[in-house]
Amino acid sequence: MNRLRVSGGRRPGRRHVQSGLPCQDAYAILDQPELGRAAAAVADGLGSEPLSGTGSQVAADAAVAWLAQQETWDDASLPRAFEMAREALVAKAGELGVPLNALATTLQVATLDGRRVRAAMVGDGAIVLANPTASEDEAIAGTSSAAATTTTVPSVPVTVLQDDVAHASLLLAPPQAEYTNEVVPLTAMAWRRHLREATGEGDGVLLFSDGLTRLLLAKGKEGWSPFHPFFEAFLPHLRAASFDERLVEGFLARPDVDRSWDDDKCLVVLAHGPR
Amino acid sequence: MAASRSAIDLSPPATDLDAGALSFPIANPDKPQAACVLLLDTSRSMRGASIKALQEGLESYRTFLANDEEASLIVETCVITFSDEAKVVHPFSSIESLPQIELEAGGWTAMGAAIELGIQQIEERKAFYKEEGVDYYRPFLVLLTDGAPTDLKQPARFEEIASKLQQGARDRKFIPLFFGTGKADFPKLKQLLGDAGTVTGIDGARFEEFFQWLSKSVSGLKDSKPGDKVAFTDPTAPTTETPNPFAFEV
Repeated sequence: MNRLRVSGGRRPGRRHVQSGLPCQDAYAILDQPELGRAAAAVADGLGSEPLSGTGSQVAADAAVAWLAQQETWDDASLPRAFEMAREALVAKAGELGVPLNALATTLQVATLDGRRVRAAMVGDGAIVLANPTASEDEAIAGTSSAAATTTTVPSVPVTVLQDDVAHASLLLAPPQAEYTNEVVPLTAMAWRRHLREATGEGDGVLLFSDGLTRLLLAKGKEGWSPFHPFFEAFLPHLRAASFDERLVEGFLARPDVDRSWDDDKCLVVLAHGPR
Repeated sequence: MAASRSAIDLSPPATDLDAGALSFPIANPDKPQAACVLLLDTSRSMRGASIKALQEGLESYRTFLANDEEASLIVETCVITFSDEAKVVHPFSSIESLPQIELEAGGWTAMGAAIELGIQQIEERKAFYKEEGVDYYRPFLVLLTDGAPTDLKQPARFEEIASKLQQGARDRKFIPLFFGTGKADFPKLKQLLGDAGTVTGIDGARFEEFFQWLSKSVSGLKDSKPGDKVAFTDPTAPTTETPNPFAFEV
C-alpha cells in the first residue's frame, strides 16, 4: 500500500490579527490510504464580506465530504464537488438568514488518485503538481480566464529531470484578473464560467490561497511559474523518512513568511511517500 | 481507514519541528500597488482659507500614510493641480517620496484638462506595473473642486471628456471619485460623471478630515478582496472603518 502524506495549515495575516479578525482561509483534507487516494480543498473568504470565514470553511468541508462519499473519482467529480460546495453555501446562508454574498469565498479542490491528479478552482490562489511525469507536451495550464477550461497538463518540468531532483509545475495558475483585489467567488451567479480544471500525473499536489501566491510562485512577463528554490527545497521533505505532518504549519509560522505578504495564508500538500 | 480533517481551529505553530527543515526559500515579491491620482482645484476661487485648508489636508494625507508602515508600501500618489492649466506637480511615487507641496490659488478652472491628464497618468502607471510584473489595485481618480470647469464650455469638448471619464470607469480602468465644496457646480459635475461614479459634497473647511478619510480608505485596500465591491463604492456612507463626517448629500 502507498503511504500517503498530507500536511495542511493556515495562518491569519498580520492585519487580521491586529484587527481581531479571524483567519478567513480554510481547508479540508480527506486521506484514504487504503484506496491510495487523497483529496483536499482550500478556500479563501473574501475580506469584504462579514461571514466569509464561515463561507470558506463550509465550502471546503462540503467539497471534501462529497468526494469522501464517492467510490471512484472521474473527470466529473470535481465539478460536482463544486456544485455541492455551493449548495452548502446556499443552505448556510438560508440558515443564518443572510444573503449568499455574505459567505463569499473562493474554492480550490484537488484529488490525488494513484498518480492521477485532478484540480479545479474558482477564484485566486494556485495549484501545483509535484514531480510531474516528464513528457514532450508543452501545454500550459490555467492561463485562460472567464471561461470554463479543462486542460490536460503540465508535464513541463521546471528543473532538469533527474531522479534525485525535485520539480514542480503549475497545474492551475492564478486567474488573469487585472486587479489584485478582484475575484469571482463561488457565490457569484457566474461561478461556472470561472471554473477552471486541469489534470496531470505526479507524486503529489499543493494547493494554496492567494496569500502565498507571491511567495511560492514567480511572475514574469510570460506569466506565472513555480518559484524553483522553494519547491526544490520543500518537495524532498515529502519523501523523507522524517516527514512530519506539521510541516506546513511550521512553514506558515515562520516570521519571514508572515512579513513578506500580509494576508491570510493557507497551504495543503498531498503526496505519495516512499513505499 | 479514511480520515478527514479540517481547519476549524487554528493549530499552534509546530515549534518543535527542526528549524533547518523549514528553511525553504520564498520569493521576495513587491507589494501590490494602490495608485491614487489627486486632481486638486487651485483656481482663484480657492484663494484664502480654502487653499490653506486644502494645503493642510494634503499634508494630513501624507502624514497619515507615512505613519502606516503597510500603507506606505502600497499607496502611490500622483498630484495634479488645475487652474489656468492642468499640471503634474508630483508624479506617482510612494508616500515616502511625496514632498510637502506648496499650493497657490489663481486663474481659471481647467478641470477637463486635469481629468484627461489624470487618466493618462493612470494608464502610464498601469503599463509600468505590468511591465514590472507588479500586482495592483484598481486606481482611484479623486477630484476636489469648489467650482465648475471653465475649459469645457464647448459642448463637443465637454462630451469628449465626459465620454473618456465614463467609459474608463465602465471599463473598470479606474474608480472616479468627485468631491465638491458648497460652491461647486454639482449639476455639471454629475453630468460629467453620469452614472459611472459618485459626486459627494464636502465642507470646504474640513479638507483635513476629508484627506484623513481618503488615506484610510486607500490604505484599507490592502485588507480587501471585494470582488466587484470596494470600500469606495459609496463614499457618502459612513462606516466604522472609514467615517466621513464631512460628507453631505448633493
